[in-house]
Amino acid sequence: MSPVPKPAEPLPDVRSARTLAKLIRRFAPLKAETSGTVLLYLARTACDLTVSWLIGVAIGMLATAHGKGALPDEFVSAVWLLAAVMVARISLMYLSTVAAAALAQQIENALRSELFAKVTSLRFTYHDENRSGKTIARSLRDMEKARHFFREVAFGYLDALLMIAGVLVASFIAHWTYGVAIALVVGTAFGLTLWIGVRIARMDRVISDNYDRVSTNLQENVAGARVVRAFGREPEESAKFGGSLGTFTGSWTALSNFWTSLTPWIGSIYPLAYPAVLAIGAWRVGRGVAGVGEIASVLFCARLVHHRLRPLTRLVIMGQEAVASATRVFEVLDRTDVIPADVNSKRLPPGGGDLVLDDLHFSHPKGPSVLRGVSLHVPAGSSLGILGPTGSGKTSLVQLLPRFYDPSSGRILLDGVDIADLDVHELRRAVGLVFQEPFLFSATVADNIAYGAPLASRERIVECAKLAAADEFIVGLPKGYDTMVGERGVSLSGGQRQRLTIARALAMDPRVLIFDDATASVDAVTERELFQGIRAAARGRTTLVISQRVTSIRWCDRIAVLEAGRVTGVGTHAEMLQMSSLYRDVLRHQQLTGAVA
Amino acid sequence: MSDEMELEEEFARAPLAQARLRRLLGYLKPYKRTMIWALALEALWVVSMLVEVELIGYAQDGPVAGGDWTGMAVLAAVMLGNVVFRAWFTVWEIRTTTRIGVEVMHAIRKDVFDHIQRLSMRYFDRTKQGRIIARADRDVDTMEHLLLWGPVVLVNLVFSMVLGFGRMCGSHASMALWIVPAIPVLWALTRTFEKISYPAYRRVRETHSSISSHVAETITGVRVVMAFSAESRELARLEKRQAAYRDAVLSSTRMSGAYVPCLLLVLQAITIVALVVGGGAVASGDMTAGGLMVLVMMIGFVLGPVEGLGGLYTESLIAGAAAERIFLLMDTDPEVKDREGVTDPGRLTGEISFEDVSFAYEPDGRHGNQLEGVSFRVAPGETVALVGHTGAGKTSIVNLIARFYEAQGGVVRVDGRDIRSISVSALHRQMGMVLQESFLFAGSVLDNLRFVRPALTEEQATRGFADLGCVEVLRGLSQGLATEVGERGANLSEGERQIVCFVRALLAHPSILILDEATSAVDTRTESLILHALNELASRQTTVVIAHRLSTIRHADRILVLEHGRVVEQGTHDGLVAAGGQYANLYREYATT
Repeated sequence: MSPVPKPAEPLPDVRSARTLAKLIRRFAPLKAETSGTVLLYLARTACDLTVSWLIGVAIGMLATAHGKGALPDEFVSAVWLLAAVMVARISLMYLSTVAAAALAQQIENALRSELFAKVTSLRFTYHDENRSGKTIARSLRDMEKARHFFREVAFGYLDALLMIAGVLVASFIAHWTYGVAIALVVGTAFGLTLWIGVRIARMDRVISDNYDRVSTNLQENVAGARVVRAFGREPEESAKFGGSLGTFTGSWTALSNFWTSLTPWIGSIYPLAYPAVLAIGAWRVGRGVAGVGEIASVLFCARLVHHRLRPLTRLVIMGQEAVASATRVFEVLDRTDVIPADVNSKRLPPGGGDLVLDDLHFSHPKGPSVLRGVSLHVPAGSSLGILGPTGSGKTSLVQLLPRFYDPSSGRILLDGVDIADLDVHELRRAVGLVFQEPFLFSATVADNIAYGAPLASRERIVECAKLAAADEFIVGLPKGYDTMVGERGVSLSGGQRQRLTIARALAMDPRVLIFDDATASVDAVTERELFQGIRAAARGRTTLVISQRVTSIRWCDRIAVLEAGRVTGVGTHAEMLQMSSLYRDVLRHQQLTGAVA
Repeated sequence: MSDEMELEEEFARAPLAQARLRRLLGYLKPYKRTMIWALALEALWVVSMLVEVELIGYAQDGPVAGGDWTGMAVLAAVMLGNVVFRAWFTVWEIRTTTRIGVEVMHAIRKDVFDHIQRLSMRYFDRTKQGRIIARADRDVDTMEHLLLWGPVVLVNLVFSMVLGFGRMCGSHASMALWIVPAIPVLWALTRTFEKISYPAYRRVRETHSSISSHVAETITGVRVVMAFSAESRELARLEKRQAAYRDAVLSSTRMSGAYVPCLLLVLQAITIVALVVGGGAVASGDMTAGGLMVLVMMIGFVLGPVEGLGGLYTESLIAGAAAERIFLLMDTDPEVKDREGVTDPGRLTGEISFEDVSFAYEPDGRHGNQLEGVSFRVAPGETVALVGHTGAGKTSIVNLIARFYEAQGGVVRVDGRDIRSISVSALHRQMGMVLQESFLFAGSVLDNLRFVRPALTEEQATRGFADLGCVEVLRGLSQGLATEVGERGANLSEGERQIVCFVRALLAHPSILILDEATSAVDTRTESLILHALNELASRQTTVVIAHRLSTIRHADRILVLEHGRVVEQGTHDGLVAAGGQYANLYREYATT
């Protein structure tokens, strides 16, 4: 049961640099806001420095006034000026914080919308449970880490860098020797902080991978509580958890050993600036070219950087994580396999849903072929049952109809038009799908039924529910059609949920109705209930019913048997009994396995 | 778990009751001495920082003002020494502190998990999974920072305030008097901002989690979204939520963004006062310029910690609420546990008997009894099918045999012994269950089979499939036994999952095999193979089957028909059909559809 070891992906520097550029480019469309915010930060930094500088100047003025009894006038005006700059500094601090938040928020929301739109327009690889599908699902979670770039990371770095630049400028103005000394110290401290931050960020990824394992372990244990107890494996589970927890704790300890042995030393580099500044000061005072005030000013300014360096490690880690996450977000955004936009597409002519499948071949990328030349004709208003064992290609076949995938060759005609030429949304509105898993949204019953037809009246909704044999249980719910369902609503049985999804498909008034193994995961009693709904819904409408069980399809006008991607027989129930040995086998077995309760 | 609930918990605040605090500190007890050393060093760290400022002031007045280059060189060496000494002992201090923190967190996580292993099914029925997970996961996390750094930060802040203030009093008592009123002002500011920004921040979290849940739902149902062409509507819905989120963030920033400037306002006002008062002292000759510099820098030492203390206080309230929830879980008494004097019965024959058993999931009888005076006996090696409508009590019977719950009335016996006198783990290890939800753990198929038999070889595992007539299914898996089943078995089809669960149950070499709709999702051909195989294996163990399909039931030696928690009929299929009772009705009902 050891969880799949995920190799910690290295952070490729080239990709990171490219992602960083892309992230920064996100500010480009908001030039005015961005430059305004940067200017506020600039002004704020200038004020910070001026305050420190002025304190030094004021103290310097006192050096000559020592013991003279009265404060010099220039000192008093310096203090007044100081007070004024302090007020400006406070206001700028507030304004820059609010401006940065507003700007970052706008960019964050735009990026999230873009990603969301992309994910819902990608070709249907998401649900394949393959790697790329997981990447897409994960990208939205990554988004929530990437968003930190725009506010915390971008403006955190801006603040630190502006301050470093400002202090260097101030100290060079005082005298180049101060500048050189501070540049050396800041450069070393800043460089080492970045270096250790990047190292920690890498170790941090190992830790969070390890923690994911601890967490998965825990979640599985709770979700599988019954299984664990059924087999009496509690001690083994405890031991297993102890193991993954131990790995996690081990990686934590490794990080902490690394971090704790270096951080204090890196932290001790910057304070070296103080004796350096003092030594230079003593030398300059001794030569009579400087006063005490100059030294005090440089010292107070130097302390400003000191305060900026401490939180920098955290910022570097957050930045690394944001960039790594953003890389995956951009990977999805850069994908080109979207469903073709509805340009030059034909409209669907009026018709009753006449469906022609013409020599369809299909395979997943790099996979074996799933369909090998399927041709079928379903006349308007008739029903076709498709029977086939697992892996025969029946689900792939119906996924081609709403163009979740496109066939490798062959075509599908709906009322005489090749569906590849149709506007994809118009096509999908004409195809009503009932999936095997009855997925409902967190919304009211009525909203769920009207999901594909948001303008449907209440009468229409009730009508569809009645057709799908759902009305009777809906009126019994606490608030009838206005009862909340889905994850945060009342819990419905599998059969009830499935009946709602049938009503949902009907509400669109589709030309073609498809039941994709809709009764597979319900028990026999529910299956029987669902039948009524399905048969009523199918009346007078082109209907495809996919199933493994003869009972689910024997009522269809015609039945096709699909084996290994080929149609091996088409006919009525009676004809199929004559014609298909598979059909006979399945039926015979089924009669033995009929439901009792 | 619903987002609102999660938020509710996240925002809960409670001071830690003394008993709880003592329990929490109990985890630190083994490290008491080391801890005291570390805290002493943290105090020393503060002293070293003060010395640094002191040395700067001294240099300013002495060698710098006098232009004494060599004197300054000596002083610089002293400053360097101070810095190096500080770094040297800090390495030991923070390493020790983090090590203790990591070990304590490890111990708490392990204790919580182990306690969860002891809890009974009734607890899992009543408590949402997400909540249980949140205890061991998020709540422990919430305490982590406080436990790791709380004591150290507290010592640092308090020492910095006290020593800084003492230093101020020593050199310039009137300045110290000026600074005293600033402390309550800053504290009040900190608490007020915490209080007023709380609802704003909460709103930020709420709006953000509404985005997350919308995104998660859309992704889960992406097939439906696409099939019903609802992409643009879902995007519009997202943007509406994003707008609410943006508004919340901005109004929260407008409020909390004022906090730091307000703090700064007080600090700066005090700095101005220090310059004026100290300036006067310098002019009158009571103080040197260097002394004034030290005084200004000391303001940060005295007032800076107020903000930190406010943060620590808030953190302790949040962690307090988390600790409260963790301890509540750890104090939950398991319902099913070994009584005194239980024994390991050795290999069971698998005889089961119910004597006038009554049972309710809710012991207070709110929802009535699920079983009412049920009595029956199953002989060793016999196969019994339980038949009845949903809610008739089939699963309750199975749950009592497995001792997931305890009956309120009557006695359940295994091998003639009261089930309560048999050790729970010994009983479970002789039981094979295929449950309705076919739950697999992430890992390979083989890993899942080793769940019941850690030493299982690949050969034995393959034979397990063969015994069940399902070698074809195993061959159909992309990598056979090494196939990764994914989280909760998501990479396998429902039918494949059921078969793996079935093999797992048989490999446990059970004395009692319980099948709860074990083949409902298996395709018909495979099902008939399984049933055939099962027939061969039937005499190896006692088998209790819940099934709706005739084929499974036909194989049973005996059928128990349940209705409203009572056994209303029992007999063979043919016998019951001939008798024309309840079973015959059920059977006819199906046959005519």
